[in-house]
Amino acid sequence: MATVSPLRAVALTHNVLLKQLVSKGRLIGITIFGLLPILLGWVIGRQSDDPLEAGAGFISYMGLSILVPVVALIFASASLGDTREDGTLVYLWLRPISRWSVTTGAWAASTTITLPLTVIPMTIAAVLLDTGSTIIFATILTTVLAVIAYCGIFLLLGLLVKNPVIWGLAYIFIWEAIVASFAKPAAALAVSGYSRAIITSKTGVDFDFLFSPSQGISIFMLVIILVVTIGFTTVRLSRIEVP
Amino acid sequence: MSPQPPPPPQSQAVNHPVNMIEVSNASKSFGNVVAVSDVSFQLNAGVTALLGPNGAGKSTLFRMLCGLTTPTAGTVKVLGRDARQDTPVRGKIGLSPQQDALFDRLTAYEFVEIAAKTHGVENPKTATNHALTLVDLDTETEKNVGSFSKGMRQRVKLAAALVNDPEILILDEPLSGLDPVQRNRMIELFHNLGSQGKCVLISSHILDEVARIGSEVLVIAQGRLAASGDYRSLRTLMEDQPHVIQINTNGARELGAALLRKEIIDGITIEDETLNITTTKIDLLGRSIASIARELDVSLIEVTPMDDDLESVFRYLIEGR
Repeated sequence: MATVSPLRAVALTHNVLLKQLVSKGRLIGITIFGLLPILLGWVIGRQSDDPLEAGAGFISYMGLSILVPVVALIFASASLGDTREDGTLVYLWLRPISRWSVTTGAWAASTTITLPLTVIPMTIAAVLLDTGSTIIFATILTTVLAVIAYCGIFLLLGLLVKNPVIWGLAYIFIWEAIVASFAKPAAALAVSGYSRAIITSKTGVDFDFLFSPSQGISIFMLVIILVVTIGFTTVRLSRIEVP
Repeated sequence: MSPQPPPPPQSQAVNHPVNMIEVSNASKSFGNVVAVSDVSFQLNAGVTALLGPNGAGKSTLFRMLCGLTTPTAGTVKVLGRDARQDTPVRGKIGLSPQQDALFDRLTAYEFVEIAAKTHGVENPKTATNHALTLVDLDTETEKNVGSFSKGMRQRVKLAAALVNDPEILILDEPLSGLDPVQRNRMIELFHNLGSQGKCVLISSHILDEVARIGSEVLVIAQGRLAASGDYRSLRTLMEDQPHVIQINTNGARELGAALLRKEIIDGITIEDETLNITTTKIDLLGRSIASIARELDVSLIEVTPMDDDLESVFRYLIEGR
């Protein structure tokens, strides 16, 4: 029996879980949800006196604090969480492959589906703001970084609790959207704190009350969040009671 | 076979330096609920049936064997290793779990091929085709397993368990949902695998099924190993217990009176055309009932052993000791 290389195991896990995640219902629901920022982006672009500042605020609060985490929550919490709930986890768990390969493959699957469903509407919204290419590039970069971090967090949540979507929504709306917007120490412990910092830094729009680490630190922290959550998920997967 | 707390059973020829499966004083509790209590046994090549009613602890025991859950006390080793900690040993186990869950958006071929690939099988396509053929599934079907019948899903699970040619096969109620022809085919397959030197452990709660699965039996009830050994010994042990038989006939009174007169039965109740009898002479009853019915010119519509089920076995094994 040949051994399975870790990267091959990541790819296999990614492929099988991606197929499980992509359902018509989810795709239709999320696509409709994604129309909302497009519509708002168009309205803000037409109506605002300072579309750059309004646009940066809209991308930060509507896009990075609500759309991106909600879509990431739907897919990442289901990626391993659903397999534990429905009993299919055993088909990945009882294989001669490393736990981190399974975790990373599951994260990659949720990221693969979350990225287009968030980056595309966010980019269209940024284009419709009609304020130049800077905000478009900044939107794409921050959305990608926020997606990879949120997918890590919600992948872990899916293995930690039952009903991860409810817990996740509470986290998004209470912590990421509200608390992290008004309390700088809380923003330091929130993905939205760092993703907002990147977009304000790129666009030059300055929100005085925001937590404002440098762009480099923000990117580094989002990557750290991903690495730490993948690590915790791997430990959790190793210790879990598999149904 | 003994109704007393059994010594750890040891199955057939040992070709391995260690027992293929070794369970030592294993217990598992969920809160205050004891699912498995102080179970010990060793198994080697061959087919062994794990017999127990629903909720007896069979699936928990299987989950411990595969490392899916840790024992609260004791040790569970497969090929001398703990499957929870040891990655390579997991490649030598084939598990068909009890739950019906599959990756529903995959075809049968894709599902089994993923199992082959994640096991590191060298030629996954060939292995997948072989495994699907073994369980009589079409290798070409484009249908997702989500649309399969229970029997087909069961066979997909079996194919996935077989695809890596494992040394240890752990099959949790693998015959449920299969039709009689498929059951026979699968039982034949299990025996072939056992004779190839694989350790095949199969759970069931149906006594008749166990009789056909394997001569070696572990009986588990209320989380404890109630008995172990040869199936026929277990049945022989049961024979001094009165059996309850229900007979549907158009001459219940005449037949009942004749059986009593010939002292073949010990007790009798009659309801309409149904005769409920108790007897300790089950073999004599089996040999003579047809001829007695013929003498009396009555028809035997149906003869049903009412206690030839696991509950009666367990009642005897547990309450009798």
